[in-house]
Amino acid sequence: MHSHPEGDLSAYADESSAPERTAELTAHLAGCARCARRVDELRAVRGLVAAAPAPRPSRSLLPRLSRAPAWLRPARSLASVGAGTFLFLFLASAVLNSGSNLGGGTTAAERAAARGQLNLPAASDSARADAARATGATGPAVAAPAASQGTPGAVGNTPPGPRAVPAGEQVAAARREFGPPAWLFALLAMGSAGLALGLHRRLRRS
Amino acid sequence: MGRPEDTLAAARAGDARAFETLARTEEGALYGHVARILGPGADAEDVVQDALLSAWRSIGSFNASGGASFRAWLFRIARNRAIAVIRARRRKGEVPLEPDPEEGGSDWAEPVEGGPDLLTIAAGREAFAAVELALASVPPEQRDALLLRDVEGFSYDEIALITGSAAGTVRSRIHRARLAVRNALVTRGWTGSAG
Repeated sequence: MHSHPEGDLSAYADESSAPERTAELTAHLAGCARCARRVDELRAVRGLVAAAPAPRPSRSLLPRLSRAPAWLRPARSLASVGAGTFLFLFLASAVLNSGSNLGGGTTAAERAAARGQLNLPAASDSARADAARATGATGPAVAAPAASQGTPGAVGNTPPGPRAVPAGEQVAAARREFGPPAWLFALLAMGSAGLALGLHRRLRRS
Repeated sequence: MGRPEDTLAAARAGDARAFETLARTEEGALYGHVARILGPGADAEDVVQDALLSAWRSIGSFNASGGASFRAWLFRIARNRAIAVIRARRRKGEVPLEPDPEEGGSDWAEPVEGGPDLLTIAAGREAFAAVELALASVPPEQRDALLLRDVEGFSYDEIALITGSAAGTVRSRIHRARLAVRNALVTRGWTGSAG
């Protein structure tokens, strides 16, 4: 029915026909101006389609593929809990220290010393004076001589020992033995918070 | 990881960054192809993104000795998803059924004397707009084959692998699609001169 091999012309134009078919078509095109023009048209259309600008995506289409290690999530939780714990310890320690420094007697030892119930071998003048002020006694002028004479006085009935240790120093020493300083808690809190933040960012990237 | 083969080997070994490097080079082309099948927009973007994720998950099954290049393999995944969307649209009646490749659509429109030649048309943006309109009028499967050939440069054999079609079907689809674009241009006044 068709004397012109029009259905094969695109493959011919693309040089994708079988070798023997290519030879047949080449022979036909040599004597058929119409089919030769069709081939030119198809090649021109191919060039236009290839040159037409393609649509571009409005966003990146790359899926998130980097998977976070399994230990990352519990590590972040642990670091967060650690940061909170160290922050609490720091605040608690700071409050205790500030109470001691202000002379408010926030510890049991200080309160006892202030009430004169602390069983000290020999309190210093200032400690006795503090205790006397706290209990409303006559004052350092009265308490000091009693202490200096080594007689039972306003602070307690214990006989004087060989060495006098101030009550404040004793409390501070007890605290030093009890736990680490406040700045260490602050440092650990900041470190843990930094670690938790870093792990959180790493998890968000993955 | 400079050579593409090394990057591909690393990706197959589970290196996500290597796969991202490979995917990044094809991301635009994949979208351009899918967008011309489905129409540009969120559907096409989702299809490409899903296809890349699917490719990553199944990269272990990619077999270079099977005849298809990694690029062809990616196009196959994306194109299959796009065609699945087209079929879903067909079920809803949004897209007409593909015509029988052996029937109709083989007529050559005759150019009108005095119309512009190809060089005149190609000189302006109007030509590309005309080509896009003509492509949009071609059935999706034919358009798919034509774009894989003319835009992406795949061979007929690769297109057969990508589309899962016989070589004869690929030849027929490409010819019909190209003829449809040619006729659409001719109806706009193109004389058909190759310039």
